[in-house]
Amino acid sequence: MEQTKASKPQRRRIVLAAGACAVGGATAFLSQQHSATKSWPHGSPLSVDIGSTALPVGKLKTVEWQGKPVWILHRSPEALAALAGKEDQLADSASTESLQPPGCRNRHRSLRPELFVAIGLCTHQGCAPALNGDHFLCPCHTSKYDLAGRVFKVGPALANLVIPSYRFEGERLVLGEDA
Amino acid sequence: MANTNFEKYKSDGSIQGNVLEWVDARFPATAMWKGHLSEYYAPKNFNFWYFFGSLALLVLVIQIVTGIFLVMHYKPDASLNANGVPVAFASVEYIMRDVPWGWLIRYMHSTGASAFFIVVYLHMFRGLMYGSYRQPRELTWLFGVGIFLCLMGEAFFGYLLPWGQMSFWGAQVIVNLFSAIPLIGEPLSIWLRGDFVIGDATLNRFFSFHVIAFPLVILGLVAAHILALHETGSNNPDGVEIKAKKDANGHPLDGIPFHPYYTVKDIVGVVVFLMAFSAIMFFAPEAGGYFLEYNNFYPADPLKTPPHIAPVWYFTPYYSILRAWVWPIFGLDAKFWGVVAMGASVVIFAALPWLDRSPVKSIRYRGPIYKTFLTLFVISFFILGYLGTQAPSYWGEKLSQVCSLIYFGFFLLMPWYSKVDKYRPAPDRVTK
Repeated sequence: MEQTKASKPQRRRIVLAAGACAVGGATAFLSQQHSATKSWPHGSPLSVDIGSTALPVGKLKTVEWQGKPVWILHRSPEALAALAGKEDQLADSASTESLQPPGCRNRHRSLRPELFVAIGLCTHQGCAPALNGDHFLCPCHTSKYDLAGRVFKVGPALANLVIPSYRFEGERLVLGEDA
Repeated sequence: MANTNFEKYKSDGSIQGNVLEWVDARFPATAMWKGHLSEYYAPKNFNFWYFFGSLALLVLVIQIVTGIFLVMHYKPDASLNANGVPVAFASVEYIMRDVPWGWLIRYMHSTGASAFFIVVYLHMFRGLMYGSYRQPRELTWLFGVGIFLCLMGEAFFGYLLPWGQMSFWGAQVIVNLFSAIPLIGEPLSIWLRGDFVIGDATLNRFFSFHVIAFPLVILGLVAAHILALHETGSNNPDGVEIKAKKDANGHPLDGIPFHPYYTVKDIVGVVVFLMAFSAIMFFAPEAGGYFLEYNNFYPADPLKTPPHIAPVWYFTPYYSILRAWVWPIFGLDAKFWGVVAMGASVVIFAALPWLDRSPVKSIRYRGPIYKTFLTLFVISFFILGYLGTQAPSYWGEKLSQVCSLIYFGFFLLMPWYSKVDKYRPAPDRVTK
């Protein structure tokens, strides 16, 4: 028995149709991966007590916001003074390549000079640095940040710590809302 | 029915015989048994290096069987229970403390993970020594590299499941590696995590990959690896083709049937392996913090990275290569090139069949240059592995750069040195 062969354009149409089905199906399966980010549960603003009893001078408070550690550090006048004069050791001393609200692009990288607020994750690979005397040190690859979250040239991280948007409300600080 | 191309079993009238004849008429049972075991002719000169293929198969079975039972009690859930402990972490503790024999099943699985890599590394080293990747076994080798890649993925996904501190921060660092890719990096890492941070979505998908997707792919690749091997026949310590010299029946003169000769021999390997395996599993399941890292006995805490984090031992050579790259080039930062170097250090094994230009396969007939390069490669691999477990340091970085250079040199210079190296002609027949 002789077989009738499908003509070339016919064949191409079938392959194209099958391909389109495959791409459509793959899109559905790949897009579901984003499910968790759509119903982002921790995105709402967070209010933190920053009164002098809750946050005395020198105290570092860590709160969880958006699943990440957020630091609130009450810097002493000496610590603030120490921020000056070492710009040459820093990778981005003017914070031009780093993420922060516009009001925080200054030497102390904060709205109020004494209060430092930052997301406590290293900009290299996302480990949580720890306060180590006059700087923060990342345990993973020894990136080093000063008390304004400005990164030193010595480690692998290139950008300063990310500063979230925040504003003040009396004795409280509201994370996630613009000042 | 009878006009098929495989040999039919003829019953001798017994019940077993009748059953087998009935099956054989419908399924190639006898043909498969013969083709892969009783009439698969393997070179008669296998030494102990040839234990590790069958041992890898044994560990695969151990991992699948123990895994099936672990999943009956494990819960991939990052939310906190009434005691404030993540449900996933608590379910592993439950397996360890309350499930009858649960500790044994879990230690078999955790020891099995490290044992898998030990056995596979030795299996790969055997291939490097005797040129097992050379023509005509390139596809066997490529399927093997595929198994190795999937095994790494399988181990990485599995390591998140106990939801301890090392699980969490290890995954955090590795997924963040992808964010170093220009343009697509950041969305890609969010897509991989399913969230902006490592969280419940990440745990659930890693669980899915670990128990379904990767095991399926690994099983398929293992079948392909063995089928390809049995198509070409096994290599041997002399690196000569036994199929070149056959007897009157068409069987290789230097071949012996895999069953019973090598099945019996492999039992010896299995016994020795299980002695070592049991010793570790019963007396030192943590293996000094190398098989189970101490920080992983703390539940995942997204606010605090442990003071020293390092991957499990089997990933440390590649982790060292990742850290060794500290130079930004072509306008892309060092982190990206570190990721590229790490990826290349694993994938480069696939190129071996085409990098090797030596007229002989086995190290027995190769010259001093190859022997030197292979020795340096192995030493570098160990040093990189050690450095990967250590905190970063100035001299550690320099040493890892030298070792990375040797690591890649072994592969990339091979087309040159394997050609100019001295060699002794391989014999016609296997030696002993």
